[in-house]
Amino acid sequence: MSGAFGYVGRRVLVAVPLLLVVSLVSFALTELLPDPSIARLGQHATRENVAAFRARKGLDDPFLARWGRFVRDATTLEFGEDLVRDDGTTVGAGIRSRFPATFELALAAMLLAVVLGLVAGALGAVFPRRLADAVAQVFALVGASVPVFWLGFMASLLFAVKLEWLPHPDWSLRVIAPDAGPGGYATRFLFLESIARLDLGAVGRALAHLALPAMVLSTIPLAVVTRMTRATMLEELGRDYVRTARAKGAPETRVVTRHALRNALIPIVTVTGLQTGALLGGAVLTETVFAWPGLGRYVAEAVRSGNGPVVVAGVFTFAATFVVVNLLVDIAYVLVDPRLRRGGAT
Amino acid sequence: MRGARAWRRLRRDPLFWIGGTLVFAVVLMAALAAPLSSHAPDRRVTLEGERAPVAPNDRYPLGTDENGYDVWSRLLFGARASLFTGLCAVALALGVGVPLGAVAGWRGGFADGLLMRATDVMLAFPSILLAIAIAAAAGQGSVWTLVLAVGVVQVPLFMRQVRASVMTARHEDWVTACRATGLSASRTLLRHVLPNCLAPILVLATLGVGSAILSAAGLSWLGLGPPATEPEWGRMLEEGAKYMREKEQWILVPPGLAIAATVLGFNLLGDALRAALDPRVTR
Repeated sequence: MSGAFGYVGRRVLVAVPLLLVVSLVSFALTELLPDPSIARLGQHATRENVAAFRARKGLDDPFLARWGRFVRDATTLEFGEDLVRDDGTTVGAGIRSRFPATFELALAAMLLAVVLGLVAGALGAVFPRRLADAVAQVFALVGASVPVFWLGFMASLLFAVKLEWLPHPDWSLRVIAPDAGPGGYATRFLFLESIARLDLGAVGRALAHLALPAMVLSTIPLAVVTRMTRATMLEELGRDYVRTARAKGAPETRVVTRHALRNALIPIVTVTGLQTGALLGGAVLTETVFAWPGLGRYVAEAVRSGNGPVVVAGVFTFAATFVVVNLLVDIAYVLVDPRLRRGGAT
Repeated sequence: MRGARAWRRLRRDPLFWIGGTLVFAVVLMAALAAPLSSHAPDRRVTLEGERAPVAPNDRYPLGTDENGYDVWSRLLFGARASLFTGLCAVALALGVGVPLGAVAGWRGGFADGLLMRATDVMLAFPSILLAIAIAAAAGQGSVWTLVLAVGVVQVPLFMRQVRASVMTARHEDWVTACRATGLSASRTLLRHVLPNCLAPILVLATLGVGSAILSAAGLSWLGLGPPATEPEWGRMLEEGAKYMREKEQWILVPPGLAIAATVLGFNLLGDALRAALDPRVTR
């Protein structure tokens, strides 16, 4: 057991300096992005006003001092004052209020991609070069080539405007849980909290509103998950233990799902973890198409309005989430794979 | 010859021909944009009394957008913008990534560790997000903003690929033989090792053009690319977005299809190249 804890400890220790450097690179963007005092004071602000504002907010301090403040404020998830709004609110408050919507959208999209990708990839490996295999591969490739923002338009046109099967996504408490009571929800995790409250009506509405954006966003990791599953499954199905299982008379479905798929899972999980990055990036575009109240749209709007500190904090939050997800994936192996638990392999 | 064998495999691959046709069609669109277009792509061409957006008719094969710009002409010139962005971005990534990756793989040690940690950090950022930040930082939107933003985020991919190939080659007997004949290290690397690493770089570059075009369209759609008057596919979609619930929904179709077909073409070509160049890949 000590091997497992040692391994987890080492992974966490490697992640901390990486996060620090990521914060440095994110914060260095401040130097390149437009001056937030312009966005606050307007294009026609006098030079004196800008200088006074910069001095008051500490924008002229040495870079390392400002970075130090950024790291300190990041650990409390406050990220300092929102200089453009300049009303005492912090950037972190804006980030925290939008993170849940992105989290639930990304989670739904990833689950959809993994389920579809595993099924399509496994089918492709069991029946290689057959029609189902070809269809799955072509779908995955086309999905990866279509821009998500265009796919968003087209999917809304088809499912929300023409067929009217799904609503135009509107991720607000008013729509998802109109009768949530006076206090509303305790968190902004509308879907997860609906489940926790066992409010089936709200869960249904949340699913209906999640469906379109999650479907669109899932096309980004889908191709990679499908291919990885197919390739590893093909390899595993050719191994000796599969032949042994078949020889002792195990039914083919059991051989595929219990023996081969379980062994194929580790590389698939790795690739899935790495795809989180592309998924989070795609969230910026998907959220903008569907007016989804998440972090991606917040960052895109901050880019347009010249709110540098929000862009920096948003970029850092996305990157930190990605680093943490991959850390969790690494830790998950130790729990799944007994070979790693003994601390033998790395 | 490995090249001849790869070509034989490539020739039999239907996906190569589909991808090649798509890419060829886009190249034709870009090359023949001027003679094929019906109007100027970057100004109002509607006549007095015509209410933009005009539906497709004899005068405007794909209609006009709300500003009275001809969609077909913009689509043709947009192919130029997309190909230019994709190719320049990959050239940038190659120009920076290949030398750095080669040094890391050849020298090893401290330089290697430092460069690889740098790629770790860059790859910790979702690439579109990093590109958005770079484009926002670069200020005035133009095609070059897109090239820079999309090219920089691809650099670590090339660095890693080249480093891996060079490291594998470094310990092979023929490299030792080169050195034993008195060839200098840099000459061995440039004339013998790097040419042997070309295959994976070619595959990565082909796929890279596709993903660069896709990302650039996304940035341009967010308004970070060239100004609205310039013909660019992502920007055309942004202009058309407001018609989603109107009867002019057709405005949204041509640019999206064009982006998808171009990216699919490069992806298919890249996949076919990988299958042909790497005998381990089975389909």
